[in-house]
Amino acid sequence: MRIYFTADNQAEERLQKNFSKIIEILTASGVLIMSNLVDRSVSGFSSQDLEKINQSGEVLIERMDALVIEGSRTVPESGYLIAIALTHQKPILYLVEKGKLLNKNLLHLQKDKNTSRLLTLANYNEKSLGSVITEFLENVEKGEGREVPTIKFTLRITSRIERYLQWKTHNTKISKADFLRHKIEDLIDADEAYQKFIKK
Amino acid sequence: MVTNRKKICFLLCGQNATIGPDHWFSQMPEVGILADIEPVVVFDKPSADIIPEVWQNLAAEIFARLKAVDGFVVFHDVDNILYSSSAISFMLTNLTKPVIFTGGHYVSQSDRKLEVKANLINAVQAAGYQYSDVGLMFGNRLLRANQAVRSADESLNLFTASPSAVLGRIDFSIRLADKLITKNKGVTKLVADLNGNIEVLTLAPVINLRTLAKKVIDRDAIIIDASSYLNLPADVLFFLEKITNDLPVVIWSDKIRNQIILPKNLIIVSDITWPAAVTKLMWVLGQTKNISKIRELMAKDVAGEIIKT
Repeated sequence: MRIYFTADNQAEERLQKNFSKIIEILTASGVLIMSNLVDRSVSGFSSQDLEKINQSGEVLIERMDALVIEGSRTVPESGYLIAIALTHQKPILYLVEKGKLLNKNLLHLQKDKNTSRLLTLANYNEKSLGSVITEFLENVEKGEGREVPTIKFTLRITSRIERYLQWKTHNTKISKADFLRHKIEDLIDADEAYQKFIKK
Repeated sequence: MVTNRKKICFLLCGQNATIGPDHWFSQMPEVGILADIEPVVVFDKPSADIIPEVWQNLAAEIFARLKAVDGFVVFHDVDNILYSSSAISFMLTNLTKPVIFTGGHYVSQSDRKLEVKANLINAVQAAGYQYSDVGLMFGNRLLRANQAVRSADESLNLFTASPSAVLGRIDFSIRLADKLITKNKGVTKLVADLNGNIEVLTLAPVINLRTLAKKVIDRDAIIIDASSYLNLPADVLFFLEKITNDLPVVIWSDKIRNQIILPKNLIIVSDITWPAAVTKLMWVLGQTKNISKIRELMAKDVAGEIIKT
């Protein structure tokens, strides 16, 4: 997975430490990172790849899987990046330190049905940063932005199943409902007959 | 996020104008992140039907709003975009704000919307910077419009230009070439007189000079595409010297340089694109009919149109 990460490179030292932490978490998740904060060399692209991209007329954001912005201090080009990422249907994680207000324009975008599924706005602190990023990356991996479950489905279960779900999800960050949804997603992906059927 | 919001005038020029600006921007909330947009419909038919009067209207609309906005985006179908953008570059002398032409290629219906939207967002962003060129934004490049030609390759970079006319490139932001962009100061003038009473020809062995003689009687100039010729044919040369000796004749060719004796009414232009040559001649004829003055102005670099290799 390729992520472009941007933040204000003129920000104070305290925020710079947060930026480093974000890069650390992303790197530990196995993500290839491009960022305005690090060396301009392009992670994961050969010079031939870059030349091909340049000649084709594409912009590099098209080759990214998602965009992460640390917006505690205004990033000069962030508006443009958000606009172009949304155009190319790239999920965006916009992080702001806890206690700071989120930008009004972004809150407005979150209300738009076309853009809300791609834009995640999150306040974070030192403790929550890891889980916020991890959850975002998981959603990116699912593809097509974030699929929000909206269909109500009542399922009566046996006490045996209930014990298992309790045991499985206890002390994890996953709810029983999310656990079951993930299991069903796995079944869908593994069902060859169904995959053939939907591709028709 | 943008704190000092830019104000961009968005001029619709072409078939897309029939959709209407309100519909446009309701489909593209992303554009609202970048700037406050003021939409203006200039021409609502296919751009293949554009005539010089439309360029004059477009120039007047831009001129009227120069103080009120930070930049301009002209949304134009691909047909005639090189003529329109070149014409604007001549009519707005000492331009002090960017005017960015963009549109879409319409390769396939499914890709069209995405390509058009991406070009539009890039154009709005580019129109918010401080420079004073008429540019063309397609794919990942911003080009000086009056030096651009259509690309031979099928790519999102619909147009190409010499390296000195690539005003900006896009990776994760728009990187303007500081040494190549123009930064005019002072007062912009609207010099919008265009004389479209010209005969436009492509040199070929089948030119009927008798028919041509009748056609040019009431013309104010001739412009000839002789780009594939090293030498002018003798009968054409005779015709131009004897039949049209008081008519300015512009020969567009980068190969016909060393013809020993040329008639006085012949003007060779080379380091300029064909659309720029045609629109420049119309603009020059709007200022003067004196052949010496026409020759001088056609040789002069008026709006960055002369290609420097």
